[in-house]
Amino acid sequence: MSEKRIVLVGQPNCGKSTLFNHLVGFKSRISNLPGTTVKLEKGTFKRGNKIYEIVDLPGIYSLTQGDEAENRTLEYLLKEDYDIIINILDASMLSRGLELTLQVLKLGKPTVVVLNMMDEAQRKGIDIDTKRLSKILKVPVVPAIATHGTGIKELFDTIETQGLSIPCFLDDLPGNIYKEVEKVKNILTGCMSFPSECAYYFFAAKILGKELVGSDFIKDRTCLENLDKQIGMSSNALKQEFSMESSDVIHALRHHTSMAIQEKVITLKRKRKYSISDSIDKVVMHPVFGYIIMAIVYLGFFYLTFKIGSLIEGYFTKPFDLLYTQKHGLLYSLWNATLDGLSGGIGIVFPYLIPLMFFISILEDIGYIPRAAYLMDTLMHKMGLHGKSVVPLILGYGCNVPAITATRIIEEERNRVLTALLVPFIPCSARITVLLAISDKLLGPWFAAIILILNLFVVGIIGKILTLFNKEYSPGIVLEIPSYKIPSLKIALSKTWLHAKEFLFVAWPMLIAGSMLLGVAQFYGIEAIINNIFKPFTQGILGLPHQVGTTLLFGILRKELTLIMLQTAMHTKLSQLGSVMSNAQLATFVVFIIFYIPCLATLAAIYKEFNKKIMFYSILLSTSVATLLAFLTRLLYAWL
Amino acid sequence: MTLFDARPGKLLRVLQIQGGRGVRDRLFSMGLNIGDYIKVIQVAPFRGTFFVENLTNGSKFALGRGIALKIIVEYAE
Repeated sequence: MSEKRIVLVGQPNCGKSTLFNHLVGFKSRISNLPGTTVKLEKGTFKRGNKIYEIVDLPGIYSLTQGDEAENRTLEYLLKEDYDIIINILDASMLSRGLELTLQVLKLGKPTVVVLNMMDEAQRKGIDIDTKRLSKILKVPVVPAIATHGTGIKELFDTIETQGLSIPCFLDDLPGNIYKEVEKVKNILTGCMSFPSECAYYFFAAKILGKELVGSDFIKDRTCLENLDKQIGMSSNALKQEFSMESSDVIHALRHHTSMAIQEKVITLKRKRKYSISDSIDKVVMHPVFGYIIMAIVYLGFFYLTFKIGSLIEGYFTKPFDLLYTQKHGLLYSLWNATLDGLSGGIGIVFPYLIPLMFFISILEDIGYIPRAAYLMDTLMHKMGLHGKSVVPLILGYGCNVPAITATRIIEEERNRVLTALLVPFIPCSARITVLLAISDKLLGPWFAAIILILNLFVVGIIGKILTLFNKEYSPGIVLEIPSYKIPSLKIALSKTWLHAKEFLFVAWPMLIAGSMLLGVAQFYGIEAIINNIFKPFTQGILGLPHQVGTTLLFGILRKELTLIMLQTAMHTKLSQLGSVMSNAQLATFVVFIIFYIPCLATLAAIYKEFNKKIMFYSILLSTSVATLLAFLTRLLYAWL
Repeated sequence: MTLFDARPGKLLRVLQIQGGRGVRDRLFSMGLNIGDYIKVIQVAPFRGTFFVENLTNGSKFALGRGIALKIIVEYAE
């Protein structure tokens, strides 16, 4: 059986991931491109006796060196081994998509073009002559509606029955430009090796258009010198002929070629004046109603998640209660501790994390997230970040680990680091359960509400302070606002699963290991020693009972366990905590728990995504903020 | 005038995009080109972010204030 590797290439919001999900579904694996943080989804698709490996490359607007995702995608397409490119276009925005296609068709790989969102194009009154388009591009063109799964059969019929030829589209390099590109190409042929002739043209046009830096790909010094000389001469020649920079010439021609192709293949029926998307946006993006809706979405999503969560939590954790043993001995302690870890994870993942991630996926699918980013952009800009940082922060309420991964959508490294430092200040579902439990039983529901709102201000202030130390001119957000889509249950579920997987395979094992460590510590009575070491801090600064030392230390391993550990440490039940700890102490404790050191799994995620330095910054920052705020809480209660 | 000064709801034509290669390339490849007809649909409060529609290809964008200042437009009605 032969396995062919197919890569999916397309612009953001073209429905590439929808198609991928249709092909691969739950079986997809996320992996990083080697040595980078750019994520790549892979999976297999079986059809008859054929097996395909499908690789979903990040959505990119152009094959240009730019942000991390673009650079890595470009590198992948040029260097990796794959058999077929499926280039997906949003049919309702044909000319823009074609600009990428014209570049893809120079890579020298068998390519099929998929015109996705044909229904959206129809709605806009656009008719596309796919046969004609196929004739112009000299590759098969398959119309599709990925959300419904239409066109997939035809796509693979085309791949399997038509021998895909290797395209080489050069019509966007006419006349003298072609001559100059060819001169550059002739130097390149002696310096690099590509499997096909066409890729040399691609590369030459890219370097001449200053969309690629030659020295990133060529190491030979003589080659580079010759190349530089030729680029200089060709640039001058183009500049004289067009009175434009050579880089602008190459881009402008690509743009005009795409526009010209679009004109040849589409017929505009009556222009639809009224679109549902537009009228929804009149309210959702409105300067007043937009924020009201956002507040309702924000609160509604917590309310629903925790309503659902508290209703079903018991069903997941109860069965574990039967397995606990009362016997004494190291092995029994370990057994109980392991159960703690298992049930703790299950008690968070199923009732809270999965519903939360599901709601977030639905919001993402509908197209609400970029709109929230627009609404929040001004505020975030005042903090020195921009709207895109909102996305990982929202995800952080579920679990901080996938939120750290989600910072990848931010192009600028500086903003990405700052956002990642802010993420741990967003209370994840584990910490929210602690907050809600203590508020519910002891301090009153208003306490939870105040803390959640104060938390937003604190995140804002920390962001502002961080950016003061990291001043950098950032011109601002450029974010596409896609039209609204009807969410698909299958895709929302598989996205939820992808996020939950990160918790299950990264955070959960650490939770269990942490729990076992705690069990051993308790068994050997190491707690007393730890409590004494931390006494100056816990009792001295925060005014807490000294027994909480171990709780706080081991809380780093498992935040949602802090509540259980607190009960063990104080030898009392949750409802009786009020008799051994004052309200001031409880409030101080909760505030500290919410803000202090991110859990071990989050730290590991920060380390993996960034480096050791950023991880230590995060520890230092969160500990100081938590100490300061907890101390202030103590003072506030003393003053009241 | 710049996009920043343009009145919302009016049909505009893009004359020029200023700024470094990074910003220009990004806007070009996202589908905002010189000669395109665009419209400011909404501006977020507190001199905020611009919500812009490109009528030439049907794309929509959120553009920060700094970006809006770099896009030179004229009224096209």
